[in-house]
Amino acid sequence: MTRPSTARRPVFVAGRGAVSGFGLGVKVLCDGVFTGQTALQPRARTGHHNVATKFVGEFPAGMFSHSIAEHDLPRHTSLVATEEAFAEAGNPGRQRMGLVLATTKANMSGICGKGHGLGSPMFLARQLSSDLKLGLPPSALSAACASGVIGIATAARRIATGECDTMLVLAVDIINEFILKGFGGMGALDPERCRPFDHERRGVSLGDGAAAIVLTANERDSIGIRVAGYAGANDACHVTGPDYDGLGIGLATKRAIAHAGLHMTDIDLIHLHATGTRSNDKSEAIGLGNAWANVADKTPPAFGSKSQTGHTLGAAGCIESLLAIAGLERSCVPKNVGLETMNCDERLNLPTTVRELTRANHALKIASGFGGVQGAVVFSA
Amino acid sequence: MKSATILGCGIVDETGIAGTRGITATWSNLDMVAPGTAKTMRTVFDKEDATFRRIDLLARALILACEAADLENVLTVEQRQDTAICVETDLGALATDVNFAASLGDECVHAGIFPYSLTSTSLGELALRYKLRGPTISMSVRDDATGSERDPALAGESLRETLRMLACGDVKHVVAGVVDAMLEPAAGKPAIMRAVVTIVAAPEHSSGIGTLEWPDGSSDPFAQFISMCR
Repeated sequence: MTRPSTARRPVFVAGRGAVSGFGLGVKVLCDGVFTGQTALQPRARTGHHNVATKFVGEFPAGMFSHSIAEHDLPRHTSLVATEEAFAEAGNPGRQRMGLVLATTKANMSGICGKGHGLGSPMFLARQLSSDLKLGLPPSALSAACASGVIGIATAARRIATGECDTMLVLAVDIINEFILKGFGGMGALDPERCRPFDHERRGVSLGDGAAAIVLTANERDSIGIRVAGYAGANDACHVTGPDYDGLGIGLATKRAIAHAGLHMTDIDLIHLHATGTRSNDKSEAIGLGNAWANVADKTPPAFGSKSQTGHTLGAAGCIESLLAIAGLERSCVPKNVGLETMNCDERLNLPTTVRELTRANHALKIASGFGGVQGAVVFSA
Repeated sequence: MKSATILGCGIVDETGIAGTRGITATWSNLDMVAPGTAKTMRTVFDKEDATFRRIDLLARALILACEAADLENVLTVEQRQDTAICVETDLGALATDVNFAASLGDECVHAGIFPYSLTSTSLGELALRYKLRGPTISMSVRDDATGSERDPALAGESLRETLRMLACGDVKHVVAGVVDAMLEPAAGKPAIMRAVVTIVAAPEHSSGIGTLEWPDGSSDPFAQFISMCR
């Protein structure tokens, strides 16, 4: 899989922020995931909705000093995550900074209530851009559950083309009745905590999430991580089910690694999509197994984290990118929580205990979404 | 790269279907309501599509626009393997959202339409039919706070992203455009039927029919495609 070599400006990560079921901050998130904890708890805020699952990864009750309405959570938590990311990035200038907002449904308050949000990501993007006093017009995209990864690629492209030097990627989604009953109606929810790749897996667990990533063209502002490559693909097979051969995820993976100018064997760890649905896990394992088939018996060590944070939908790609970066920084792959008996293509290398890495230079993050959408991004230390 | 080569265009609107394939049909002549049924595919394009009437309005409008743009002849099967889809929308899946939300109080929600509450699903129908295996991006350009008026500064974002993808060499071809399809007013937004699709390539492509320039926000960025179709 070769791609034309095109002069692109390098893109670096300058700052990170997150709000998740583990609470406020990237460190809380990463410590929770890398020590094998789970934020999936009995439903509280969403407990009154009649859906067939007990557990979700809601933001912890009382996390904020004042009560915030559910439909205001996307905006509020996006700003909190941004504040953390800007602090790590050294409070970069905002006049020439753009925003890419990645989400599935943004604010639904006008559809499921009397608010103003009609599910338009741009509505939230404009609010956030105004709140943050960003100088460049915002962009907003929805690529289903691959939104976060596609958002990173979209923002990186702005810098790569020289359009601007700094970009903020925000990815956010909050579970609500619309989403819970949608996934519930499709029979896609695990009644208990989800168990990706396990023989007993029965579906996904959902979660709240917001993540912010500041990207920069200036290496001196970097945290030592580069967005080395990114790519997308489409299964072109079925709009809600995956390709049984994992063609799309394999294509996105190989394209992103080639985009980074790397070989398959250069990748040291993978953060998976790993929803816990029978078909998605199966096709993801086959697709990645096939992608590495010509160079190795097994893939690089891989992990998922939806059994810990819940599936944060449009935010997942960014939250999980932070975890992929943490894997590089910590030189290890955490255990796959909930996995006891693997029931997928065994070429997918899934540690059930913490795996220390002898080399941690390049991490791959992959994501999939409705519509056959696939995204992949490579981070390099 | 501030420009690209246009290889084909197609539109579907309240009037009918038209495109650089040379097809012009009106809904009144077809005795059909936009965006048609499987019969539309048979009548206008001599093509069978067994699931056409079961998919959502956004996907139907986009598919007809792609047919009018002659997508399958403009791009080879091999080229389509890494052709991107980049489409923007004002209303997104608002009609589906409203319909699904109305079922939330029922004992059994309308789960069959839930996937179409995401516009990426509609774009997936396009990818599936034409085997477009490049990146798929759905961009939102409506700010609910500004009512139904399109903000010229935001309109055309799909075209700008298309030019960026081509400039970076990330893809060689993109199916770009805009889609909004709602038969009746919903949530205070008026009914609308518009799908404009253009197939574009990097500017070194020699056999184009026009040039896509960087939308500067001063005018409707999709007007040139409409004039190329009719």
